[in-house]
Amino acid sequence: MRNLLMQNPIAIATAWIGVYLLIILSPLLILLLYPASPGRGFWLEFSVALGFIGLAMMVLQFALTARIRTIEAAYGIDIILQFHRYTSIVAFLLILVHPVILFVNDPETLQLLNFFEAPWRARAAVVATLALTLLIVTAIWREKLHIPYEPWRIWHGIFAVTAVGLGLVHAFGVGNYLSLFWKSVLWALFGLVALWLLVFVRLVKPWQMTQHPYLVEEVVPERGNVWTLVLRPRGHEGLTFQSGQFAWLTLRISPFRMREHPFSIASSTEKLDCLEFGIKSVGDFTSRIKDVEPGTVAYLDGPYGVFTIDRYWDSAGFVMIAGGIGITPIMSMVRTAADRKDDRPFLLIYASRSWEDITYREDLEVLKDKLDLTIVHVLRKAPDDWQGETGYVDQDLLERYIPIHRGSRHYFICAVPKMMDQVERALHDLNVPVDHVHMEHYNLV
Amino acid sequence: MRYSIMLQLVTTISVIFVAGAALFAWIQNRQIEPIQEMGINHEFDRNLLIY
Ligand SMILES: Cc1cc2nc3c(=O)[nH]c(=O)nc-3n(C[C@H](O)[C@H](O)[C@H](O)COP(=O)(O)OP(=O)(O)OC[C@H]3O[C@@H](n4cnc5c(N)ncnc54)[C@H](O)[C@@H]3O)c2cc1C
Repeated sequence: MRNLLMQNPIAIATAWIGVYLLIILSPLLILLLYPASPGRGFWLEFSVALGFIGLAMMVLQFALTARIRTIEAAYGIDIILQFHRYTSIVAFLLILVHPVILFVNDPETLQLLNFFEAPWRARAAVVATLALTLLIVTAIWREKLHIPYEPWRIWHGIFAVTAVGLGLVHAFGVGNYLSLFWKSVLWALFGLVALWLLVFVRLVKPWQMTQHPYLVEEVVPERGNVWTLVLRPRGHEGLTFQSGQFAWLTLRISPFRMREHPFSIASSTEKLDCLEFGIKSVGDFTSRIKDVEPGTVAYLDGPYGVFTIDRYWDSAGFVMIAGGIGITPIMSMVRTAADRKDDRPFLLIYASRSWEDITYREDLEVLKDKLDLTIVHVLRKAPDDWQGETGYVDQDLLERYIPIHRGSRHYFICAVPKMMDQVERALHDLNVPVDHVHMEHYNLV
Repeated sequence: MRYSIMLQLVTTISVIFVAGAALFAWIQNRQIEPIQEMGINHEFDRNLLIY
């Protein structure tokens, strides 16, 4: 049983969802311990219940996004952030419906929207709802609104704290149910947990990072507008990780400023004296990597992620599908496998723009001598004398290369979102078991 | 595809929440029926005081 719970993804998911439901419904369950308050009517009770559920869901968002390793280790950060997005929208709708039911049920309560005359507990609710609306709008349409990632992240935090803080103030201010002892204990606990998570993310974690600094050893240019950033731990052992995992990198500035970027570790797990990251120049932060001087201080928060072959000891071999910079975690996996003298077959299907752009092309050739590694390069712009694959990684191409016994391998995909979706669908159509397909999304937000 | 599984999951969770809220409201309300004799205006005033 224990084994089942630890290893079966469906059992793990069911257990987590059970815990999630229980925590969110606990404010209502606790109320059932008390005798019901008289004469409030179905719609009022329903509205209050929706408000409680919405608020509890919002509090739990802090736990989902605090990069807690036990939560994250079950599914990976991208899946958790997707859950965070969907459940935030649900919480938002429940919180909006909560007053709407009141207004419809009892139009006099509309007076509570009169900000200047309403009691402060109602004002808290209005401001919390406004903050929540801004939070949702800026999160869904960040790119359309042209909001750069870093200011967005700061405002996202401010809106979230305002919405949840004032939501709790509203709930305590109304005090109708919260005057019940266990109920108020529970909500106080919710509030304290949210506060602790905030302190943990903003203060404790950055402080821990300052205790484990790294120094830039060198910055090496690679093919495809990519730079390898080599970091050496200073005064500590460095981090132990599983091949394919990633870390949040802070460069030059204090970790308390919370301006970190996620990057897959590209080096082997067997080589801990230095860590390597392959960073493609795409924007503000990444385009400045090439100018970083050796000796620059860096901090890492990690490792994170479940995109790793280390979890599949029993697999007969691996199929890796990379597009462009998506090669970095795969590079770590094949380098590690070579260092460990892994004798299983590795198939790498690697899409690049052109022959000249293939990041780590020469390194991969060297690895072929140390590992049972087959590489299929897929080029979008191929030279005239190119004999290999061209175009996109589609179902036909995959069918030509992946083994007939689909379930004998685990499949790792890391590429731009469009390619990942296409490859995932193609693998599904080729009868690859769904739990054998693993993906790392680089576009978290 | 994993995201569509997630969407179905979140939809199920949301239905559970709404059903849970309705069940809660029903239970709370059902128990108090025998003593529910309040005048409508009185109830309005009380709700306004509460919110
Ligand atoms: C798990 C994971 C592993 C990654 N591994 C690699 C890797 O090995 N090599 C590599 O080159 N890139 C990797 N990336 C992508 C890399 O994090 C972004 O390209 C980089 O943060 C862009 O920053 P920028 O300021 O240069 O670009 P910008 O133009 O500011 O951003 C481009 C896009 O990158 C994303 N982004 C920007 N800043 C952040 C941030 N602080 N946190 C999260 N996302 C951000 C946003 O979606 C943004 O729209 C990885 C991303 C993730 C999520």
